[in-house]
Amino acid sequence: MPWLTLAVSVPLLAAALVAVLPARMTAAPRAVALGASVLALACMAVTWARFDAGRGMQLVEEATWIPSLDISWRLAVDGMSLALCALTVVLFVLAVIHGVGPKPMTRAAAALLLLLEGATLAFFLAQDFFLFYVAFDVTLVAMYFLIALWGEENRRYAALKFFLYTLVGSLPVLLGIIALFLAAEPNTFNMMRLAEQEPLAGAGVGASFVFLAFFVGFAIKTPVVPFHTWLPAAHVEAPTAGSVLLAGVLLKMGTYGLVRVNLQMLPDAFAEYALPVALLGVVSALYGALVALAQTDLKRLIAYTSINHMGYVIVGVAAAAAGGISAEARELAIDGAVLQMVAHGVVTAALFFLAGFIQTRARTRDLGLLNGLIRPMPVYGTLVAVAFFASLGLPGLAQFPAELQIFLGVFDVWPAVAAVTVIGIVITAGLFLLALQRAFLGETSEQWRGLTDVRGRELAAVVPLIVLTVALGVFPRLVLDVINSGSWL
Amino acid sequence: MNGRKLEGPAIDFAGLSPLLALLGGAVVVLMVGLLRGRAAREHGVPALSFATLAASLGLTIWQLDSSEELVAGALAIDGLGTVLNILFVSAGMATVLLSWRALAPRESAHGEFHALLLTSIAGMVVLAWSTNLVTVFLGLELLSIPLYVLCATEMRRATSLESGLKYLIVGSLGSAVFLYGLALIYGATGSTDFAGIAEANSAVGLSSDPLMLTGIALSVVGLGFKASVAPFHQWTPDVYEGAPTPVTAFMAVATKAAAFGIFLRLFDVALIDSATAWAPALAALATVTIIAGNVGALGQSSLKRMLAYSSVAQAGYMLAGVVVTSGLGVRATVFYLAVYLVMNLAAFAVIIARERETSLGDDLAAVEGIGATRPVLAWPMTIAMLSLAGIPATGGFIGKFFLIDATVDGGYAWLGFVIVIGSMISLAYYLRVIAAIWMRDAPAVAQSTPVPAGPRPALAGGSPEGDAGPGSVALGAESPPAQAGAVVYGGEPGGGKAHWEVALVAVLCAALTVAAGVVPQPLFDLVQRCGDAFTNLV
Repeated sequence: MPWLTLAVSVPLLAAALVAVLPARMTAAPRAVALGASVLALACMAVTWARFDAGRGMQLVEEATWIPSLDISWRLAVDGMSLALCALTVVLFVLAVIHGVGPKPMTRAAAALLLLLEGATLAFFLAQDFFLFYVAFDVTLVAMYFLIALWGEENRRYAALKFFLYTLVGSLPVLLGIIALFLAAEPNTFNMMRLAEQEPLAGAGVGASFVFLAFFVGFAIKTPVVPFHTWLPAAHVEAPTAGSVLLAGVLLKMGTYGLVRVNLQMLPDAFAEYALPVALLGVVSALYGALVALAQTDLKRLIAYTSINHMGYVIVGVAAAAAGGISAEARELAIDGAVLQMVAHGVVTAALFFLAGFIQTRARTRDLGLLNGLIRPMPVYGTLVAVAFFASLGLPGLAQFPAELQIFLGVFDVWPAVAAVTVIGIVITAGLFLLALQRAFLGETSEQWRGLTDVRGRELAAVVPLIVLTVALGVFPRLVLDVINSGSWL
Repeated sequence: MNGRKLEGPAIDFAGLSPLLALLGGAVVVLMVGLLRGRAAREHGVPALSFATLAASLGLTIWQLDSSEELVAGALAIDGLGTVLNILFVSAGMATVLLSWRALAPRESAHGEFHALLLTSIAGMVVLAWSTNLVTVFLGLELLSIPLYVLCATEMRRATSLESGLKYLIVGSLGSAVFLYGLALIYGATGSTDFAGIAEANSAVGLSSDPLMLTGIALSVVGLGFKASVAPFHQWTPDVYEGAPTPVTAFMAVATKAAAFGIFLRLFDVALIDSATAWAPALAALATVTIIAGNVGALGQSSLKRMLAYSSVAQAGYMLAGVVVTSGLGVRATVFYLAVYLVMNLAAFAVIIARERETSLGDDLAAVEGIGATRPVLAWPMTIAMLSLAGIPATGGFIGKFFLIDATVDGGYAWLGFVIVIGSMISLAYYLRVIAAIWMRDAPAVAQSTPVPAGPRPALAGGSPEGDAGPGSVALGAESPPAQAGAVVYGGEPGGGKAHWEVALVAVLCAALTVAAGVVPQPLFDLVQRCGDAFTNLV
């Protein structure tokens, strides 16, 4: 069975199905969306079982698509793809459980979620550059509508900003793709062959331009400071499930591209720019943490910590690209970076769900107004505490092993960079503890006494993430064995 | 071609049949338009025009594989000719549907309107088939003069008259300049035949001959006027805005296709050996055009003006395909023309529908909030805008991809970069339309029937995975608007003045746009046929 193709096409076909359902079947859109996302999860589970971590890129599925331009439908997985696809399918099931927009879920909401899922999986699985790019942009369109239709007050502005930034970023990527296509001998969009060939190796200025084209596109998506200004707006205005998917999955497209394209296909050019890229990563990590420290809006705070956490990934990838790194440290850094993508996806998704829950109850996310929430909402408070501690990198929770590996890898090449980056962790620790103290401990003011604790669907959406957070913290090998970057890098 | 005395040239009537059908149909339509019965004029004439175009389309498809000279080397039917012919005739069929119950034919007599339309299409066919400077000019005038009149057919509206007059003056100037250029080329090469010009050019080496260069320059200017290439594009927004919208739609898609057909034939066949002289100049013009079109479109609130500037920008993209003088460039240009046709027709059909449903004309406000109230129009418009902006999974993306591929391959990588920059700028105004459709509530005055508009637009029957498959678009768009059940379309009073044929054109063209983006191979195969006209290219 072509499991990868199934994983991509089931959500897409279900999206088409949902759109043509009769309007009177009000419960059907959610049921179809849930069924399709669970099926996609099952397909990835089968893939996980069939996956051989020692073999690099594998399980290739290939079919001719547009012969005139030599474009194929070509999907395959390696450790990085599989880890991110697993994250994707899990988060989408939870996002569907939580829902988007009015209840019961409308056909449009279900269709957009499924379209987004199919495109995201296609992006992480694509081994044909054309498909890679198409998927990259289709996720944009779907996310644009999710934010613009069911977001908060300023949704239109935020959606447009998100769309424009990322699309403007994607156009240089397109030019880079064509440049790689033409540089390859024979011309090909086959990403596996391009990674093998490294067609622009030793091409000097040309390779640098192509590198920068890809880097700018992926840096906007990740986002790296100074390309980050779309992110707080988009996260704050997006509906809860939209923020979850944006932070949990879509940001990873940037760092995934950085590894898949810049590191694998343009290693020489990356080696040349490794230090500047790493410094941008450091700036992102510190700047994100500092700005987060100043936020009182819980969603904004989480959004800025995302910039901080993705900064670590950038530093890790840049270290792996640097010329002087040992093979061992390189593997550590990339394993850590990919694990950080997964861990950040799980933890931040949980955080955004939790921020959404308080928003629907208290009608505010302002940490200055909230206080003593642990008393009326003990379960909620506990979940938030775990997620906060995970996000600040507490040992035993998901992000610790990832960040540790990144720092160990970076330390091998640039000890100073590693030392400065660690400051980011100190700041995030401070800000999360401060937030916890402000909103959850202390006196409960009158207005918050009546708040009800989380239950039902909300628990179903967030508890699996908390379980995963702990599991990843205690047994990081679960994912690290699969990632096994030594086998594909 | 010198036929013997007293012996007419051999005429291949089978090859000429698509053209003859159009001209014959024009005469019949003109006659039927004189009948007294109202039904005959209002419905019979459009039906006959449609049948004429359908017949011509059938005959073209019959002749699809033929590649031969017709009428003593003045015209030739070949791959490029037949493919362009399919485009012209399809655009014509859409135009007939769009103008069936429009104001323009009612004001200017149905027979005349449709006869002029058919004649103009015949002119395009002549132009696309011509292999000789004389027939080029003949075709150009045959296509232009009816269009001048068509622009002015809403006779009681001053802007329509203004549009016709402006087009007449600017168009005639363009024609005159073009004619002068052709004369100089003839003077330099001693031949009016494309093959003869190419031969003389390569044999003598006229690349630095001042007569030849002046001729080339003047013909670039003349064709630039027709194809609205900057800086000869200033007439475009005024004429597009003023003309009756079905005519604008026709002008935007069919005239552009005809102009680029002749651009390809003249420059990539006859003048190919002077490419070193004209290619850099055309590349510069393409750059100016892309920038002028995209920047000009930014501030427009009239949809027709916006699309006019957008058509200028798109002309710049297509010019890039001519510049590279390669088989890939030719195919990319024709591919883009085909996609350009369907995506623009979808957009214009929606504008026409909204013009009839609201009192807002072609203002951006006319499409505000239609995401909630008229999904059957909102989705085609959204798809058209996404495709024009070049978002993947639409034909516009594949077309641009193909063009950029051709430019980079042909050593004009910087031009590909310009196309990308242009696309970035264009997002701003295409997205504005999408935002208006989905993000704003419909203005109360605009609706002919009261429509319950919730605080958040609920997508009714729409299918966002229009990007995922062609079938779903048509289905999604046709399913009834559930939340806004008040809106009925079908031309009956009480349901607004929307007409089903307009919505049909919009939905069909949008479906084709997505189809070209998801399964473009059939269109590639069709475009592949154009290669045989360019045996000189790689």
